Amino acid sequence: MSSLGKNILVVGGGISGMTVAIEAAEAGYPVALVEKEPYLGGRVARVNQYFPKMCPPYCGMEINFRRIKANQRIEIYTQAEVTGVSGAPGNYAVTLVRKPRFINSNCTACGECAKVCPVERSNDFDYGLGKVKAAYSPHSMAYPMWYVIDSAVCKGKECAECVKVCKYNAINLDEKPKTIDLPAGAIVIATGWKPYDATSLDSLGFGKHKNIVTNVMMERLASVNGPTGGRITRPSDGKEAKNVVFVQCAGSRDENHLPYCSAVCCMASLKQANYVRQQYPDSRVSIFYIDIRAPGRLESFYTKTAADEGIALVKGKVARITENAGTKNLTVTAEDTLTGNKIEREADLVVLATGMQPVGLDAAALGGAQLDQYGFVVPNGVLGAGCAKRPMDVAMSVQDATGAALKAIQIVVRGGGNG
Amino acid sequence: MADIKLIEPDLNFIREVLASGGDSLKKCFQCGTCSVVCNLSPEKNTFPRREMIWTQWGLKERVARDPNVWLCHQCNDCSQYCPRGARPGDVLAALRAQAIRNYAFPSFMATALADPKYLPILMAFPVGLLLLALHLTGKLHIPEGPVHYANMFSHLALNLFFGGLFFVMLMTLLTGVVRFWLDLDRENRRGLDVVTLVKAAIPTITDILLHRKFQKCEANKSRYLAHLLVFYGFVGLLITTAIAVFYILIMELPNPPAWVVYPLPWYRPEKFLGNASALALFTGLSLMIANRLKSDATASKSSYFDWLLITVIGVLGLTGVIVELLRYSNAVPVAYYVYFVHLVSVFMLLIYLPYSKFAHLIYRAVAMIYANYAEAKATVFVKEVENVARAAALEG
Amino acid sequence: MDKKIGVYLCAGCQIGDSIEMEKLEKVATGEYKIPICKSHAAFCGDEGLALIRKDIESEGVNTLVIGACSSRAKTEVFNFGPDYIIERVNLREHVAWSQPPKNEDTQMLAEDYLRMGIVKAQKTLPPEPQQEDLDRSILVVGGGVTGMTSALEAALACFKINLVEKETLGGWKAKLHKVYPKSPPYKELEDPGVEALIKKVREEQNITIYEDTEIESIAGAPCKFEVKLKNGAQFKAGAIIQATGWKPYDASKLGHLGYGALPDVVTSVQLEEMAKNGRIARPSDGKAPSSVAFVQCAGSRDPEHLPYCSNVCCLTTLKQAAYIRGQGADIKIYIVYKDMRTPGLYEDFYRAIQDDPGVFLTKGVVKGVSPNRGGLLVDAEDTLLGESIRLKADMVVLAVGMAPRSADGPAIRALMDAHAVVAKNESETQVVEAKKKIETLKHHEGTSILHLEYRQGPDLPVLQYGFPDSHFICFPYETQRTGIYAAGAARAPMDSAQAAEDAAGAALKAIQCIEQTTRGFAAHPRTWDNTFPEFYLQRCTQCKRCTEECPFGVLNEDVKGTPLPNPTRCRSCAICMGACPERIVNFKNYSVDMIASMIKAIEAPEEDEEKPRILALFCENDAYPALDMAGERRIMIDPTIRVIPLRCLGSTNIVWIADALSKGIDGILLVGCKYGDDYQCHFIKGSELANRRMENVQETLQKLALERERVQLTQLSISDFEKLPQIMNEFAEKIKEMEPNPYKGF
Repeated sequence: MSSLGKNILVVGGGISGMTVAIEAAEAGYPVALVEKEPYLGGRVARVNQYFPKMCPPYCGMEINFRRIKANQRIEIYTQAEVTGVSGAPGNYAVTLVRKPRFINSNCTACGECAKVCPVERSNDFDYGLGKVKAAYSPHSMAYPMWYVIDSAVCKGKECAECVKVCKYNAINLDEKPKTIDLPAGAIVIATGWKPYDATSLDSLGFGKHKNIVTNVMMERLASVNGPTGGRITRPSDGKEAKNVVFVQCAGSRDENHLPYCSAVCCMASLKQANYVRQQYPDSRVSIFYIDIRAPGRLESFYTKTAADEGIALVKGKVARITENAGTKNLTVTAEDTLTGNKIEREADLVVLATGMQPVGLDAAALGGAQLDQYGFVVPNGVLGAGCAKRPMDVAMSVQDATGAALKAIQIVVRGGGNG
Repeated sequence: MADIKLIEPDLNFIREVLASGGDSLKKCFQCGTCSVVCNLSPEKNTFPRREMIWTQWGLKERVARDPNVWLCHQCNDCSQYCPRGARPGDVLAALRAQAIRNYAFPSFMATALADPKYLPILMAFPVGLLLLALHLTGKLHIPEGPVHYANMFSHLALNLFFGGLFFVMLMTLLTGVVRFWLDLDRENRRGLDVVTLVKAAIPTITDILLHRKFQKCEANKSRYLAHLLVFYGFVGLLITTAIAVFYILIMELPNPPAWVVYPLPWYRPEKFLGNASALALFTGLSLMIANRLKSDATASKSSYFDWLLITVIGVLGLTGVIVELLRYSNAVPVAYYVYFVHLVSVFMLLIYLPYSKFAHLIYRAVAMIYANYAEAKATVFVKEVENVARAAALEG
Repeated sequence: MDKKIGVYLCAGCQIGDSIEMEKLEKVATGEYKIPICKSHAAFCGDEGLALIRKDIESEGVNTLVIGACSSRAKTEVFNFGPDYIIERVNLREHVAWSQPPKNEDTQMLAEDYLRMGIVKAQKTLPPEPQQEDLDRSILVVGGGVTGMTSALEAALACFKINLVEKETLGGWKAKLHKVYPKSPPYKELEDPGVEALIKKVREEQNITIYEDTEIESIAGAPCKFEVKLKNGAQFKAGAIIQATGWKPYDASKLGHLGYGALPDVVTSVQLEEMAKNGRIARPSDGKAPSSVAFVQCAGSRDPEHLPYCSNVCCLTTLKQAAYIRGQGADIKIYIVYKDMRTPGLYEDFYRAIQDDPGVFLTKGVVKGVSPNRGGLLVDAEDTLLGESIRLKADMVVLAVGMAPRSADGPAIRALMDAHAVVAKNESETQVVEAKKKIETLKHHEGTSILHLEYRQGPDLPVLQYGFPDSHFICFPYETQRTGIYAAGAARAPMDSAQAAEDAAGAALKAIQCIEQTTRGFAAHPRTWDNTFPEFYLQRCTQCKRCTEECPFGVLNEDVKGTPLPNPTRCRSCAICMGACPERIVNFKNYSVDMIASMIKAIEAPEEDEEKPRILALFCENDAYPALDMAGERRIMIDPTIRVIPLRCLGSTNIVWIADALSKGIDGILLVGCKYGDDYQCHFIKGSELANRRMENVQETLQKLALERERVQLTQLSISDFEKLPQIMNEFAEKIKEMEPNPYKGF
């Protein structure tokens, strides 16, 4: 029975998509994994450490990449997006469009092209906190391990410095988008999430004040391969950020923004508070919250963190942040709802715990996937996995993706007999 | 647990609040955003977050004697930023309506004014009363000759009548306000400290006259101007009326001075004041109405309580002006009909004042004074305590 | 197979500019007499690959030593299929990119790496597939929503299931009146709908149901499990899913909240029963309550009771508030919570219930419940009302948490051992010790659920608070017993919706384990590995180290203590290989002799050359990739260090260290992953064991009269690629400061 049946199409190569692909493939089923970025790993590749173990995502990614490399049943399409799906569960015809990478599989990641490349681009991997060359390697453990050229900034053939230095005939600046047709038995949407746009939180001043960052940016600031080499510093002047305030529910649980709870922000901020405390023993951290949501065993991480005398938790939502024009320090105001008094905290750096938003799927293009009022996938014929379904943390995404792999297999095995 | 409070929610109170414009009350989940975005909320003992949970929990007395409810000028910054759509601005407005009803004497009047279904009766009453008066004075017909309103109601009688009403109103209002003050002051029983009270009153009153609080509104800036215009328009009209009444009384005297005439010709300054005030009132009112109509449901909803006052004042002012114009244009009989409506609205405004939103004028002033007063007293108290402590320290 | 080795030395990616290729070739052709040795500017390119393929076809090369980039790069390109042994020599990241070019030391480093690679290739043997009859069915233990769902999900993928339930199908969810909404718009209560699920399960041909019985015993290993039930039924199984669910926290321990003493203080479970029976009334007088106070976190989030959050209590309380409010418009519901936890889209349900005028919510700490003229008083501090409050309630509901229905295998084993010692009654002190142990462990008495015939205990090891959960964020099903997966509330506190998803996940892992095993491959994480440990038992001394140290309980013992291997339980981490003092545990492609020979292949310069030699043993999943990434960043590394990647630092056999020191290696650096509570080792205790074995190493050092600092074990995580070079260089400096190893040249 195994290895018969059609492809399982997995849309999205983040932790959920990779998991669906690998778990299904190791159970013996062929998988096509489609990722719009030039690398696998999605958001977790940009995370410094996981809560509660404070361990790096690269560790698990290394295992997963090794599993992928060793598995003949996984076909990977990076920089590709699904543009059309026809058919029904058990028998789909899928169309992908793959954007040109301009660098092919001959690339040895030697890095000569980046050395000579004259133009830079804002590093989207670091949420724009740093810059990279137009010919670049997405990140330290990018897989596939090939460089990419960003056509948006590349000067093209008039420059072609990279082509001259590449010894492996890996660069083709003429590469065009490619349309690929695949048959698929089942479709799993694992397109994950995007951080809520913090600029729309007008009273919090993100975008206006340099030393206000979002939690995803904080992950990059704390990462060794991030823009600061892992030193947590202020964007305005590169000074050490020793007095940090975390603003919970920045957009989440808010009818004017995201009415639902994003489920991970509390744990993420507790984790990031630990980043700061571990890096600067003399640092002070305040976390302003409505409810601290530390599910299950994670409660012990919360209590451990709360016990740190350098970390203060205040029950009250931050509603105003102002900047001191001189020092570029920030003043954060909230009501301590347990005392009924307003409190103001001065901070070097403010971290907005922004929530998770669906990426905005074109349900029609994805074979009529069903979406709820917020745009999350409701599995129904077309399956979903991870944060495409609802906000959840990494462990739960992997758990969910593993289950989704089985549901996909059922469809493939039974030709869509069951939903 | 030293001072533990027995909490007994009053479900009916909650239902009343929900019904009188506070229908978003239960949505609040106590994040405190409102207390921060509100520019009127103090550093300590903030509002409206606490008022929200007290009301959610049906703590009627607690909110009734809470001056913060009156410090709110319903800018609706809170409602705009509320993540739950709980619209604290509207809830506090509803609470104020509640309080007016709560302290009003006699209370059935308050209930009557709170509910549209009693409106006909409320209108019928003055209408009937005036008709009766006309009947008794045998003037239940359109007077002969050019428009002279005195031919309908003798100015003296009319003014004595309304004067009397005004007095009754003041009494009932006073009863309510006194009750209110006693409730406010229930917490600290350290006697009435007149000096502090006066000290507290002066800045508050200037605040009110300059509308300082309104200036702090962000979400709803236009309310400042609107309210300012209505406020002074109304005051101006009040003054002109007073002058008019005064003249009429004088005219009753034997050989009154030449400059005392009534009705006043158009060029007299008093007249200008009157007309200017009327203009201000209308502009203000139309601004208010515009605001209330445009302000989207998420930010604020206007209750019957709000509309009633606006309408009465509107009709009053409008008819007032028309009455004047009709007199110049000598439009019989329309002038008399309009005049009649005008009198009815005057009656409604005056006699219903203590029970209508109009009362907020007084209650808010009292609450604001009290807030300052209490704070001042508290600081005085703290100083005393400190002195005692210091003294003790020096001894020990 | 008789091997034909070919050596292929790539000059690309600056290797050619850094190393003298001809000299390097001489190592292969000269020292090791390997006839086929080729060099090319880029073997990963079409031309280079064509060269290799030609040799494979015409020369019959079947063992390829490829000196090029790291084995982590171009892996697929240099994969010529299962019939070929591929050995990658990392001349790029670990030499060309981390050493000054055209330098004597750089050359020596490259040559040593080539020697080690050739030796390794010589010592590698092809795997021997085991042919045995393997069972492909799945045993599901527990017939609640999790068990039934996993059975059904696996059945729908055409697997045969045996479902064992100690009562009748249904579990907790069948006891529920309603459930809180699990689907958009998350506002209305839903019917549990368990009947429908039970019906499906009963009708599914692939599922055989055993009710009113429990597990008698489970012997064997994945795809070879022998299951006996208490009712006498027997069958085989390929994999096992433990879906034994949860039990409410014992409320009798909640006396401080009036439970027991006050009849009208009930648990959320009791309230659910009342609702199910159609009417919620006060136990004391049967009157319907006019006011009810809910106490959240009753026993949860409490170091005295359940330290964790039970996840469902907040939502359950909101649901039950809706029940009671349904009984009358004037009923008052008080909810005193620590934090309102309605994650994700459940927030919408919170909003829905909040809207009810009769529901009063506040954060607070409940200080006590006391009687009050036929009613109750609830006192709470730190509330949002700004003061301590006292509530009058006809009834108080304690939202009790979930405790897992699980058993702690290793603890039960320890208890059994202690009993054995007492029974033997050999020495007084031993007996006293054992009795102490029994005292501390006696609550495990008779708790076994799976009754596994495993040397390390009859049930899954538990991680924390009794949950047999995975310790890995990225691999929630990474269990310590191959082919046995916990799912649902037994694994972690969760609601039925999540349990259903978890059930599907566990079913997939069970299926996957069966597929991998029948294909002859290991289960997660080394899923590409098809070699298993071989025991040369003639030399076994029954020291039991292998059976005790195996993190996955692979090995059983006979009465004498000789290990009884169970290959399909094995995850091929080779910790047993490291454990064995007799060096009798080996793999075809990974053996004590192989690594020892690689160490011997390192050329230790003579004393007078004053060039120390340092051996570095690296965990291949974290330290080795970290070194690659350091290379990508062109960070310079001391040229005296020779790195050997290990499957796990736990597979380090002391003999390697002894060999290395006695042949003149000056220092040894072991780099493994973090151990302790937050261990990162995917073989659970590999680096920890390696560290423990360092004690014996210190003995060795003393015997040889060498400084203890010559051997160092360091913990490192994969993202420390900036730190690793420092660690290596500092160690090298330290060694250089010492006298050279006196055993050089012996």
